[in-house]
Amino acid sequence: MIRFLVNLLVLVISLGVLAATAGWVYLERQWAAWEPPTGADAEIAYEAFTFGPFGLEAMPLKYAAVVGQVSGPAFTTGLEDGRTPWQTFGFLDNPRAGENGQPLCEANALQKLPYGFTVTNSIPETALQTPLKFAALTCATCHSGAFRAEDGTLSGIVSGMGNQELDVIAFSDAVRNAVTDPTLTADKILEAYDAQCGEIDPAPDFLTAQIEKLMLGQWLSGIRGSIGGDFAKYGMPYHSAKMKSASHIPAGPGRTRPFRSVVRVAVNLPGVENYAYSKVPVVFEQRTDLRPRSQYDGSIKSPVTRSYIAAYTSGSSLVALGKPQVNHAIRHAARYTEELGISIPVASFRDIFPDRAPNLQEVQRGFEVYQQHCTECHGYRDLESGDWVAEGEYLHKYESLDPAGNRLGVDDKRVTFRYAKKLPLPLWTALPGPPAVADEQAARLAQAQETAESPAFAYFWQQMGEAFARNRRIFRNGHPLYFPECAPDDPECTPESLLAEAPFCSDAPDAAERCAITAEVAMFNNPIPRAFMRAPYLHNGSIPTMRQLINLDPRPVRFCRGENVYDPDAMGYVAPGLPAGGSCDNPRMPFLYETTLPGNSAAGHDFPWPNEELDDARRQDLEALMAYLKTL
Amino acid sequence: MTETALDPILSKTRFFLAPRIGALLIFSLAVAASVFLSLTSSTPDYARATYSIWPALILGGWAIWLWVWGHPEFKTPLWKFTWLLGFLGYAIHFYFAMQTVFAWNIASVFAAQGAVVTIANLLLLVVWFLSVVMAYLGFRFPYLHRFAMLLFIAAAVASTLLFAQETLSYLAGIAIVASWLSALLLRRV
Repeated sequence: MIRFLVNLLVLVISLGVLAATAGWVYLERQWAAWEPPTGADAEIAYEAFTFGPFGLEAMPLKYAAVVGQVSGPAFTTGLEDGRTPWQTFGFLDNPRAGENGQPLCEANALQKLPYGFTVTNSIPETALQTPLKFAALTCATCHSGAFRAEDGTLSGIVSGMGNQELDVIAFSDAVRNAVTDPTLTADKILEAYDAQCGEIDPAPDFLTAQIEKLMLGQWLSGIRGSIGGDFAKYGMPYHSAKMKSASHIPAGPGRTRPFRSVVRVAVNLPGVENYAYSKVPVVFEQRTDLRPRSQYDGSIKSPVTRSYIAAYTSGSSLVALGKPQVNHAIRHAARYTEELGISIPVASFRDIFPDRAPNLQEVQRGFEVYQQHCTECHGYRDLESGDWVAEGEYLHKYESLDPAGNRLGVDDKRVTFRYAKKLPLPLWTALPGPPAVADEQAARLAQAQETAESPAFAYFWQQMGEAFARNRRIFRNGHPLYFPECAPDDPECTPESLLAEAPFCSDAPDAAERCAITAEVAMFNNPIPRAFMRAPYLHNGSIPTMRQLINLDPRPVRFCRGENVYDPDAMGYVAPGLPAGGSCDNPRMPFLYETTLPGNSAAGHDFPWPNEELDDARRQDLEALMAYLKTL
Repeated sequence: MTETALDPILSKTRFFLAPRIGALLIFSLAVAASVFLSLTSSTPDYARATYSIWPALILGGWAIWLWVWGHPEFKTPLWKFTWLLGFLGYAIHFYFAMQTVFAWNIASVFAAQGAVVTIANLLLLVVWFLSVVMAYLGFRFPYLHRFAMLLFIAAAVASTLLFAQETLSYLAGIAIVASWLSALLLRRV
């Protein structure tokens, strides 16, 4: 009898385990269900840019809703000055938030989260989809901006403009600091959340609630281990007001250190000495006939590749990037930036500042000055058609920053940092291509190992090769975002021709010339549509206004950044120069930008003339030039 | 046909847990482990496709052991059941691999694995299925069963020993082959 009962029990358990496993797999399919959106191309592209996830889930949504309560000391800077922590980090208020006074909860998350956030159910890194919802970043988080008026209010949001108040690295440190708090638990988060949102959210069913709780605990444990394990490479996160201090986090508002991230992510090396700062750029009119190379240094050709690398080096994993919805978002968001400002309208200077619009006579005069001094590098916008004309002797060419013959003279840290010439091959091989391409990728990594300049670099390339072999096993048919790819309207492009252009980049003496990324030690001359939205100027955001860029006004050596008022007359941010020893005491502009520090130089681009060569006639020309620049 | 009717050893041994129920327990635990352990991997989809081969190897390997050990009277209910569970494990592995790694694109399987491996894997799926069906329907197809099991042995040895990517896989391959050799040594006829 006992034997029978035991056998019966084991039978029931076995069938129960099988049923539970099948049920889990079924539920996974439900959680992961996704259909590509349908509708007009422009609408799909806008949705992808504004709401499409790219694999960068910041934190669980329920945690985001109560982060100020349960992680207040870690998540706040002490410089809030009446603002929410999100506003203090420079995130834009969501225009759909309304005035109903409700707190952020799951039920209203897409309205109450800061602008540029979306909601996913994908766990960071593994991209597992569960009932646990996450607040995730989108392209619009960084690449949407607004103009701050003298009374402190913000204009409507301009999609495609860089958010020059966003302190994304400080935000990242705040998150790292908050989640490593040993007293933070899933229970603590859920209790605070239920107290806040119990009456707003529909109650989840029992099973969903248990899975959510389990996943929240797993996420917390996983990210704590991941961040804690990275302290050796990334250092400890800064906290409180140090997050806004230039001496601790030197990027500041509206800037990132993109190549520090690239070095860390793509080649797993430290980026401590990397001063390659970059302002958050505008992303208008990125069509490849107007802009054949992306990035200030012209390092990337395809807008899709540019978007993928931005996501990858921000922390999105290869697995997450391979998910259909992420793939869709990146490709369509890239397409959006190509057409934004061309077939997709963008507000003009006259639309936003109608009472400051230049008169047509001045614009015409300024156009002549522009044609004489600017067109050769940037092309121009035709006054009648409104189209950008990509014609110019130096347009779409590199401006060398090598000491000999350097006429541009801007800060070169972006293209001279350590490991810069090692990056192209690891970036190209980060995503395994289709099998034939993957063979070539593996061969080039092996060749790089054979021709390495030192045993340490031979070991480095060997490690790269092993990592590639692992990724290749995972993405047998090639990663969905593998680059490069032929443009649909380029009949001359073939897989073979693409392969021939792919980064070679071994340490062999003749290989460096074929590196497509940063090997030029140069900046790339591109068009400058919507110039008035590009402030602060130069790639490192070191010059607050256009008047300063063209040397009509002196460039400040030291100034404060944060919630700077936009001055339409000067086409840029009000940032008065500080005397030596002065400090940024305004809690809303706490970041001290010193142009004498590495990577911060405001020197160079002395076009049309250096300040000391100006006379009255030239000043009048420059005033006229300002009028035309406002129409770009 | 009862489990003990054709099996003189099993007929003399009264296991506390019926062997077929034990096989089902092992199968269910192995399938559950392959699904849930993959959740702890940084690449869950790929891990699941990889781990899910183990139920097939364990149960299929057991069936091969019974074949070698009991030949020629191997077609006991336990052999049929382990052979069936092994096939189900292989079908689950095929499903996960095709869905998550190859997105149901058979051309990409050929491109990634080569014609020989792909054809062998697909052939195993079909032949194993036919072998299980024929065994349960009671038809005599000795060459079909033999071919299916030899194909399984070749695939198991190739995947765990010849193309092993990890130490665990290699060790498991050695264990499986060693168990089959033990069946040869312990053959009852």
